[in-house]
Amino acid sequence: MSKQANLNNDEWADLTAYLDGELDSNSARSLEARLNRDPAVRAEALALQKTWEMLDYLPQPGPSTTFTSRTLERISVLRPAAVRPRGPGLRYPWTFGIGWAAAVLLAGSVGFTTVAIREEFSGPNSVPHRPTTWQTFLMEGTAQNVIVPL
Amino acid sequence: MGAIGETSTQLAIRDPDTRLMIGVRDDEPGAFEELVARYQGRLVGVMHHLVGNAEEAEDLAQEVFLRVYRARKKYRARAKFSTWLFTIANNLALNALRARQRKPAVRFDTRDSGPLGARPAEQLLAASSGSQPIRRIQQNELSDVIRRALDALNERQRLAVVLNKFEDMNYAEIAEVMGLTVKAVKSLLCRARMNLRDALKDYVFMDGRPIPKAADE
Repeated sequence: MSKQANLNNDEWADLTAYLDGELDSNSARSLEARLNRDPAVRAEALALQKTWEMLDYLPQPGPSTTFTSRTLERISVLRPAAVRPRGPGLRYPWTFGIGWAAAVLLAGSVGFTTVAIREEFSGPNSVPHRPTTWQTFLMEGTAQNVIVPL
Repeated sequence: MGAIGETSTQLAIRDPDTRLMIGVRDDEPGAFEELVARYQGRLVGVMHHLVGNAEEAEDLAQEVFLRVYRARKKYRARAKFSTWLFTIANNLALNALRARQRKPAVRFDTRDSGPLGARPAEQLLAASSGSQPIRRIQQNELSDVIRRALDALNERQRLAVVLNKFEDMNYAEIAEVMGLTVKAVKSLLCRARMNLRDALKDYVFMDGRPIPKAADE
């Protein structure tokens, strides 16, 4: 690391930080004053700046045409195990159980009601088969009469 | 949108890539594909500058994307997304470079003419010390010399240079990516730039402008 200009390590660091626009305004003003009065420091600053600009000659390599598809293909292997729909059921697992319980209760209610209605309208004692004519029997005792189906 | 704090929300508003990564975290369809599309060029480019090999650069960039995907559920927007991404890239690249140092592989230079003659860079070095004007150096040969100067930096200096030069990261962002203080980054970049200047001093003023001499002033 050659140091032609008479700078200590902190001053070199300040010089490169100045070139990077990273020096605070007070330090920058102080360094600019030194650059104005010290040609050796100015020459170093210019050499550092030109060296930095040389990096622009490096090629800027980009991804190959198959990079995207290969990358997504590798990700797709992970997806079935890792990706699950992020719905409220997963975020709040207890709602999932409540939902099932509600569904079972609803199904039971519907089933019970259906059976009850079918019972009402079919079979020997269903409404359509109930007797529509009635006979009165004379009874002895305290009860005066009883109505029974024919 | 998950449990992200106020700072994260502000970041997400300011940084579209942070918003995109939150979409990836929440498994929004197409979000990851868009992230790959946005960052693949930059990531492959940075990796190429760091490892100097196109195939290895793509493998490493692909591994970065895999790690991003695997870690997506833990993502919290504490910094710019690119800072987080390049922190992962930094770790992977440093591991790869260290593994290479432990087990040095013979790198085949496609432009190495072998027994037919010296490499272009060697010719360049000879030319620069001889009478041939360095202006004749072709751009690809110049880039070869610069490539070697960059490779000659230690891995941390090289990474700091690549992030600063090609990713336009400021010292604070580089510090975050590399897990260093801003002062350490300042010192690292200073040493890197001085090493580059020393390595390239014979080529620096090849655009016709004479190297200024302090004594001439």
